[in-house]
Amino acid sequence: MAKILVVDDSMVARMCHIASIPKDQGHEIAEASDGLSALEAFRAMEPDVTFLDLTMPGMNGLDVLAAIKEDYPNAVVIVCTADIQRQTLEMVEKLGAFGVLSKPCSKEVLQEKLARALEKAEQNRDE
Amino acid sequence: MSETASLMTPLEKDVLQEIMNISFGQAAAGLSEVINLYVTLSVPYIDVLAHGEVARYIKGKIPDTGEMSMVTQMFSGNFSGSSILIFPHGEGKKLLRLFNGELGTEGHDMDVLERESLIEISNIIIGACISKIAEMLGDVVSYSPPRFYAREQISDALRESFEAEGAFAIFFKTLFQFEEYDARGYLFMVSNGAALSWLKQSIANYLQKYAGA
Amino acid sequence: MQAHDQIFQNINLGLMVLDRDLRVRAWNRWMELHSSLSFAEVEGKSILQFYPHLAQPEFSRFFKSVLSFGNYAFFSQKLHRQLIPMKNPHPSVAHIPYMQQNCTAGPIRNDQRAIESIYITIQDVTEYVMYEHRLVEMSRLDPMTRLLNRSHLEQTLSEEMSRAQRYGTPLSVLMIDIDFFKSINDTYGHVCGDQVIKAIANLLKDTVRRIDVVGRYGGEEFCCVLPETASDNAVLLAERLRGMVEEKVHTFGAHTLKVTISVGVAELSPGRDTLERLVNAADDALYRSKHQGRNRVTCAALEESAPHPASASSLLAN
Repeated sequence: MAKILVVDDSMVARMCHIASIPKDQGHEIAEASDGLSALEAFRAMEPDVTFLDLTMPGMNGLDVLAAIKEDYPNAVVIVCTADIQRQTLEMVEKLGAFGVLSKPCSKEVLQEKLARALEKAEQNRDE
Repeated sequence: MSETASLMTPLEKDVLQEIMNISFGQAAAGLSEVINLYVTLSVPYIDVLAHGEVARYIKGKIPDTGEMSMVTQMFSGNFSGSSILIFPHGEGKKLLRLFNGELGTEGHDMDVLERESLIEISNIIIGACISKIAEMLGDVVSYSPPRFYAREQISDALRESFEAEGAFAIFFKTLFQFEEYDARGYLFMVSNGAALSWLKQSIANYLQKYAGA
Repeated sequence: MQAHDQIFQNINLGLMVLDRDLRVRAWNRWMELHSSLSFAEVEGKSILQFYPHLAQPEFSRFFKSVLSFGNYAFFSQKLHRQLIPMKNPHPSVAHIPYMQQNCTAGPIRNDQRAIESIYITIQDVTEYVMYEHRLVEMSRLDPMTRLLNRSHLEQTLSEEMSRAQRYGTPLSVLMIDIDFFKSINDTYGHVCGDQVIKAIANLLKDTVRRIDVVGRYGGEEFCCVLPETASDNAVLLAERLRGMVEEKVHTFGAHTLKVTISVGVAELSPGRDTLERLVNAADDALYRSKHQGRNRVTCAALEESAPHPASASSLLAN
């Protein structure tokens, strides 16, 4: 089992993500609906994998990502966004995200990405 | 507003909000591909209003319409309504650089060029946003030609467009920016009430598909 | 032929259909007529093969927005002049060599509602553009002399002044007045007076450089704006104009007559940095030309500020 944090200002988006996470592996799942509470939740939980939305009111996803990566360089963060402009993708990559999911995202795509993210998190732990 | 707000459940409003988030994100990506510019769209704001309140609502958000330019365009499909782009006056001049090259500026007054460039760009922005929303909702829409209003014409045009009392409107607002050009504007979309039952069905379909609910 | 086909072929509008790879799928008679390319020649070929300039971003934006968003797109004459270069078919061809076009485009969807191709309409708006030019001209030009009218002259002068101030280049103005004009009118009539004004307007227009601007300032008063010109050269030009007018013989019916002009010259300077001050300085210099016997050129001294016409002036003519 692993710890997963889902950050999105939209309740529906969180619902959709959580619905796609396999139920049978007993993952511990936490949610946050804005940038600041996401950082708090991250510090409290130190999740293995984080799903992070980019467009949120107040502190946006890019700032959250930068703050997480500063304190936890090994954090495995999957950015979820519908905005797949080259400039956005470049910024996300520069900030060290593990990957990008383009919204709306099917169950299969999310599960595949999550599985690879969990492997990466395990490698990081072993190092 | 309370009797209109109850036309949609909080969950439906939330789903619609997420559909808008995604549509606008994709629209930004589509726009940057078509006009080769980095665009940011703010988190859209959704509300349900009586039709007659729309004009007052927009004017409340943009108090100094006397210093603005406005482009409107109607769209129709299962999802029908009007889209309204409002720019601070003079913003079109910044966007004129988009049209450099063979642009023949001599002999034209800048206001005319500003109008033409705003119409052309607005048409693309509106097309990008509306088509993505329609796509997410499983619809195909067609568009009427855009119309331009400047300064003191704006107030009257808004009032005339949304006079009808009774009919409800779903209302979306977002701020878009072209960073390279330091240009920005507001996009409003007013969907007419006739689409309500269709919209509720599309929302249910979305939930079914992505949340298994 | 089906009714739709007849309309497609006979409508007074250019119509074409391009597929996603820009290959021509339809091309109506209007297009054949004005492009001199038959449908057989272009069918199935990329439009870029015939019009390589369409590889520019202007067209790509127009085309892609229809393909990506399925919307109705515009290509306005005011921003782009024309989409497909075609010879102007109207008598205005002497002024506007190419047909001016307003274009629109929209999607054509297949049974699955996917966008398979786009249609483009081309409307010939050359005649409207002609009228528009004429209207603009009417608002800018003095109808009798075809020189700039006073309000446009002042607008041009103030633009030239800010340019000169920005780049630190000199700028001079000439105020020119026909001497004893009232007596020409009184002796020979207004028709003769008008003829003299037109003749002098033409002489001024034909003598100044291309970058100089000449306007009719009032009844028999003219103004020349001379960018990048200091007062010494402005005086030389003024002197030349004065001499030419003096030499010119005007024929009116059985009469021949000669007229002269008086000129005031002023150069833009730190103490003379507004339109009003600069024009006043030239006006004052003109007044002194008149006062000192007419048919002469007077230049406002550079260091002299406009409100003191009584102070030092340099009399250069005669």
